[in-house]
Amino acid sequence: MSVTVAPNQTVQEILKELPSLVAVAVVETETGMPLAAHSNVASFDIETAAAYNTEVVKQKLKAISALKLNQTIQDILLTLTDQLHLLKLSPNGSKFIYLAVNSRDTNLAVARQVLKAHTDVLS
Amino acid sequence: MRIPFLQKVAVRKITSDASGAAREQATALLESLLQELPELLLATVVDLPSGRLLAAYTKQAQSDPYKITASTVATARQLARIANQPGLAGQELQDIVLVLENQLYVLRLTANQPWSCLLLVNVHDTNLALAREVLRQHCS
Repeated sequence: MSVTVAPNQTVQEILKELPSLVAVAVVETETGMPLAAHSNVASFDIETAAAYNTEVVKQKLKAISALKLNQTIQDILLTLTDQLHLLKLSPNGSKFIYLAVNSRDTNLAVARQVLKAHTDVLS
Repeated sequence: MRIPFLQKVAVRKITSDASGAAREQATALLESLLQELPELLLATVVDLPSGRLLAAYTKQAQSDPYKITASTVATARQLARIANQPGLAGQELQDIVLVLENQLYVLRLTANQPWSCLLLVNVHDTNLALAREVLRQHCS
């Protein structure tokens, strides 16, 4: 039997590994609403960010099917001026983890590894 | 009789619908990308305000660059709104990368014109850092 972890616990564990992150959320792909979220920046509205990013995921799924690549999306990375935003879909695609970090204190490889470890066990 | 390798048409040519300076610049951008990444699977340059495909290159006949232009434009417009989100003031989008099973899809906005440049590569011959860096160099 595979071990699954609740969204709230996933958020707490990611926060423990990356204490200086900007924001983290577990989002339901269908509705774009966060199941659990945490932000270290007071002005960062995670609900709005989750909603925007769900549209990005859906748009990308359309693009991949239009290209007939026969591939599934593993993760999506957005590079901003000094932040990295990563979205990683759960194995069945029903949820995704949204992670925003400062590129000055967390590099892309570290952020991807942390997300990978947590999406595989997301319930 | 269907012979599989004869059904797979290899295209390998830069095509363009635009004219004048835009055509030259977009084609030159793709040519420079091809020089660095000759094995790339697909590359397109799209003018965002008009949503027009300026130049395209594809290695696989089944990947039609015209079909993804609309979704590329929609994604780029959506991403342009990211900076309006609360808490993201002063941030500008630089690129977006999609990690697929064994392909990488990189979309970047060019520095001077309101164009987007899309690159699709196979992870077997091009890694994530290389694909992003080559696109960054040629789009800035």
